[in-house]
Amino acid sequence: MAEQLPPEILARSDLLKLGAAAGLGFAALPLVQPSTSHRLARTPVPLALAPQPGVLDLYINEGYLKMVDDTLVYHRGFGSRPTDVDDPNPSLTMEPAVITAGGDVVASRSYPLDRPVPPRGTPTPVGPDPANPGQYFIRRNYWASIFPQRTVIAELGSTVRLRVQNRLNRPHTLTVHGAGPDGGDLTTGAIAPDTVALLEFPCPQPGTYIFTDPTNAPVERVLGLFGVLVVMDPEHQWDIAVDRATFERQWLWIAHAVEPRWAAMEASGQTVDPAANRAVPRYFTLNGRSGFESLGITFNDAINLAAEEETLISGYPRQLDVRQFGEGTELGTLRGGQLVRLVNPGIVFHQMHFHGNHVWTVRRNGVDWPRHEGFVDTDGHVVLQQWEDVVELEPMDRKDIIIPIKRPPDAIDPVWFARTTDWVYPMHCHAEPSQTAAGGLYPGGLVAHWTLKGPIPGAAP
Amino acid sequence: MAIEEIALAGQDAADLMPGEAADRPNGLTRRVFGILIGTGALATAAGWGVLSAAGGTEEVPTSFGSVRISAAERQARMAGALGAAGHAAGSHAATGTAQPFNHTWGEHVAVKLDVRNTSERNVLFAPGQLRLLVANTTTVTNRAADVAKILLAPGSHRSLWISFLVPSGASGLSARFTDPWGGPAPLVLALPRISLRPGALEENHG
Repeated sequence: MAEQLPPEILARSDLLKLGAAAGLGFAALPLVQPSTSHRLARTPVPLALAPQPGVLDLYINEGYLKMVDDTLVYHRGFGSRPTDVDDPNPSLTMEPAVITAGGDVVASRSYPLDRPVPPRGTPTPVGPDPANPGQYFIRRNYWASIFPQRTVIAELGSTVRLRVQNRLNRPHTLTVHGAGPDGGDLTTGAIAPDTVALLEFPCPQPGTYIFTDPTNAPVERVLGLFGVLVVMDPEHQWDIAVDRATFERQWLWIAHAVEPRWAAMEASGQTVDPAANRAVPRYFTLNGRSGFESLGITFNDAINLAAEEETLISGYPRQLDVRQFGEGTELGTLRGGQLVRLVNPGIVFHQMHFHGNHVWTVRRNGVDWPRHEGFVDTDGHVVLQQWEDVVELEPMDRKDIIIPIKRPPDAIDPVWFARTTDWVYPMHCHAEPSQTAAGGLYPGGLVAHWTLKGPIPGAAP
Repeated sequence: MAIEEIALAGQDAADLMPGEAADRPNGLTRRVFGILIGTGALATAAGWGVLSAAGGTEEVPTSFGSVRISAAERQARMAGALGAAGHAAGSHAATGTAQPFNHTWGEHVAVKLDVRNTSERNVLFAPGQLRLLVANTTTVTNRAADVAKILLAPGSHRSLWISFLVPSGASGLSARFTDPWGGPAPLVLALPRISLRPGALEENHG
């Protein structure tokens, strides 16, 4: 639960900075706080927490982010360092971290920690598959996966310790949805301004979980106060769970929608009533990027590389056996695809549509879908593992899908064997407004693509 | 070295792409500055007063200081009926200028925005805060700009080129500036006299 920030958790250097800069008495240091609701004129107070072993620190910050059309929009977020509202690079998304079963917190955007990272996100194969010209043997249990901002990876058996400092002037909360022993939520409770709360819990079962600030839902979430907890079994680092699908590498796709009017209201000190002020999202992101930035075609190499490593699925064609995604024909190889964890902390119903290959949905919200005796649930959804080219993703949904990375079924032999380059296929959302930015800039929204890699020069066909 | 030479020496791309100029920290991008000539561009370093002589508009107050558009220039994108690289398709009925094959708008407008921070705090600025208003109905996202996002220190000011596409022959252009710390309605900014640059953007720089 929330507690007032004790002086001893301040780093010594921060105390010195505060004391020197502000000339304040020690007792007043952590608690200087304007009484008004508007924080824009607040004097920066760099309250960095002193690191503690096995504890992951998060800071509830505010600031302005540049959207894909170069517009500034006010955001809040769980950051990795304390920043203030006028910081040109505010920390509003946390750097990925791994909480190991051994109790360590390791800053890392790749997992497993000791495995090689795929070059530009693309796992390379063992070699050609002689029985299937143009296809390759895929490495089993080899490549690390690269995760986007806002990801916490926890190993089964670990204890998750999240220490959250609220740097804003209203109470906020961090709640991990569905991670309790009975499937319930785990929460810090309200964290008062300039106080710190510690949320400690045993790592839940392998799967994907969303954490948010549910205060005045969904407003704080829309403003950016969310993240994703991915739980992996350290004994099955390339399986969704024991006896579940095996994958070559995995991807985490976090969808979000930005509502600038709500943001402006909150930035000016108002409180949005979501019922009276209907949301009209104006920007739509995938792993925090939109449009040409999400597609990795900017003139900024760092943005392009991050998009390729974290979002833009790619791999070499392989013979896939849908009957059992963990099957292989040669020692050390896999006839499986790649796992995509689709997560939607936003407020838009998405329809993720893949060209080139259909995808195979295996679980939703932690529940494995059956392969036999499927049914229609009370909301009218078909619950059955099957090939789909559109995957519905409701707000707060988590769906695990396998993209096979296989020869497209409509690629006839003369076309397939004439292939010399990568084949790149779009992924876009059929909820068409989400493909725009700023009310019409198309395709400036939630877009991506995936790549079927071309033949390796010198390799047997 | 003239401003155009500086710009041309630093860039070799063929066309203005989204975000290109924004990713060039020095601002002297070929595609923004390459089409610009005269005192307006050179006055960036000279300061506020020089720009007024180029026909600038009045300053508009903001929550942190003021903004104004001090210069503007337009140029056709395509040369001739077919275009130098064969990328044009047809011509505009009123202006006779060649039109892009992909039916995007056929003219390019670059405006010079002067932003002044007279407050006592740091102020963030991003070029998307300025949108061009076309035909009194449609606001347009910028095509490129000198910077992606900058911090204006207290008492500082910057002059930035921001470019847009507009329909060939469009008249009555104005601009809207969104002040994140101001009121909900964007500020109306008039454009000064728009200079017409001869030739074609994609001919000169393709």
